[in-house]
Amino acid sequence: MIEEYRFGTMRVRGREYHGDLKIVNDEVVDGWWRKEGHEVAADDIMDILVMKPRCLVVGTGQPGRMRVAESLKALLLDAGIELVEEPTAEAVRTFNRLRESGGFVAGAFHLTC
Amino acid sequence: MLNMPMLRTRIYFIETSAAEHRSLLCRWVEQCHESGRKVQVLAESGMAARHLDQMLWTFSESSFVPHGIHVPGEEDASVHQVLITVGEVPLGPMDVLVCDAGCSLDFMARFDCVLHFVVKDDPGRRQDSRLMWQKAKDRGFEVLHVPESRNAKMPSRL
Repeated sequence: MIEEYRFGTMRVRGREYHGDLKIVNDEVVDGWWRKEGHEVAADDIMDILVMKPRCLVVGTGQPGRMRVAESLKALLLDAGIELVEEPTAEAVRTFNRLRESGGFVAGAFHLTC
Repeated sequence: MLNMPMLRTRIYFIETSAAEHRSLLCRWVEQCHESGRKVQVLAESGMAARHLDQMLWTFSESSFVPHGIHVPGEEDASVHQVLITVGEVPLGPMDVLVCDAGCSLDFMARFDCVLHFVVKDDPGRRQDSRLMWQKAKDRGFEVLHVPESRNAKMPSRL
């Protein structure tokens, strides 16, 4: 589904995006912003939480400065949503692999540092 | 005998303050809408519904959340992705219930997911939320706690 990632740019199904984005239920939600730029909190990914995926893949950027807040990690654990937190290039590969294997997976990707 | 929800409804108990409550509500409605979920917003009165209607148009300069207020018998509710109702009005299939008012567990059980706001600086509402948490848990709902963000102030979109 994600065809290419390079610093600042991601191509998904033939369309290029230049800002952070989420993939929820196979739909791209672009222009993803967070209250704290380099920290992901629960209300930054509410759309993902209400969708109840089995797994959330977070791309933390290149080289990966963004972090998932501890409170969100605890919430995901309670909600039974597996969290994969990786630098974005790796996260893209993980996301595609999980999706191709039929998993109900959501993604949240930081495209820069 | 206790009524168990047919599909296991998940209720998020979201901590906030009275000052931030509706801004946060609008932000969550926006996110649900952007990801294609059908959302019912439950208001306690006509005045509250109109206030929410206004806020959903104005809470963020760059946002666009098409929505309406449900008027019984006047329109087909299914055309709206986001619909505000006064009280517990059963509509067609909706995915997410966002509570700006008190709501029964029986009504919540109609939804896949419910957002309930715990207004921490209002002792009465906080106590209501505690009771609801316990009752929901006892009835087999999935209850999840969302702590208040460190920075509760709403930023503008980047």
